[in-house]
Amino acid sequence: MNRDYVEGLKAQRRDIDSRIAIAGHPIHAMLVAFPISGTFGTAFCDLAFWYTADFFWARAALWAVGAAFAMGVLAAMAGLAETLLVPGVRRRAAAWSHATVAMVLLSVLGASLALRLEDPAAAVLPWGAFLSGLAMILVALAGWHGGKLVFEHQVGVKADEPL
Amino acid sequence: MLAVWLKALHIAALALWGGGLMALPGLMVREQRVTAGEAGRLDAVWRYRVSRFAYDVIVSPAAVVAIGSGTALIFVTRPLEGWLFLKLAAVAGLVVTHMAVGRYIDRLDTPALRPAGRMATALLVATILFICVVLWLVLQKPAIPESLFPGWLLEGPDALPWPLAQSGSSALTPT
Repeated sequence: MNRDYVEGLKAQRRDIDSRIAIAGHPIHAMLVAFPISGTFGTAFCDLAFWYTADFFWARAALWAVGAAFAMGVLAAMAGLAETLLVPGVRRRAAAWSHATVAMVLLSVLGASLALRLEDPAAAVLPWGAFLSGLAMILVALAGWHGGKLVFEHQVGVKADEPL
Repeated sequence: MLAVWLKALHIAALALWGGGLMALPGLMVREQRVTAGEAGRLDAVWRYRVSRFAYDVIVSPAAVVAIGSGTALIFVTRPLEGWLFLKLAAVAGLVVTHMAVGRYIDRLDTPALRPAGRMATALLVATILFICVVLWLVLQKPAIPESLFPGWLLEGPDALPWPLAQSGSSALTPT
């Protein structure tokens, strides 16, 4: 195979290599598991509170949404750094779709956290549950586009040999 | 003081975001009559470059800044009422419109896959609709009565129209 051609393909791949990574593992991909599970956990706690009216679940939801928001902010910072550092990321609409919908998810989680901090039990029904439902839709959309970036555009996929 | 600067940043960014989302459908729409020859080719390349640049460098980053500064404002000014939560849902709608525009942006280099006039109009109408809903909620701050929600959501499983389980006997509830 032509050597220039191979070098060209390698350069194309480096265009979408992760820059914020530990030993080749992208930090953003490691962090996003936390806001995803926190969002699902909050929704589950709201459902359990609705069913049992036990204050335990209102407090559990406050902790779950707090963890989801805090870890989500960290994941957003890692993702933002990748977006700014990797030209092949910011030239893809899928990256911006993922970024904008994830930002709205963080906004919803933040509002949910601020609301629950005032009065965990009174916050759940109806608005806490409303925000949890909205967050579930947004986390699905954000996850879909995040997955698309990896599985379809192969962002952050380490491949020394050109595919 | 922090709230004022955050709000200024928020409004500046959302003006760029909303304005850009209103301009993009017209820029990327599939042309009915293609200008012939070199002039037509240059026009197509120009429209492609402007759309791509506007989306990647101005409109999308502005969306991220607008939403990020808005989230910070929630914690600084604490407007924790129904209108804010409905506004977040309307912003989610605007983001879905943004994503639909992005799908077309990635396919701009294939003229046949550009949005047809009707689709571009739909994107424009959706953008204007969501922006109007957001502005109305933010400026009017309407009180959203809880009575708008169904009783079973507010009062728990006992208010369901059908029995879910024998209440009181569940191991899930504290005694």
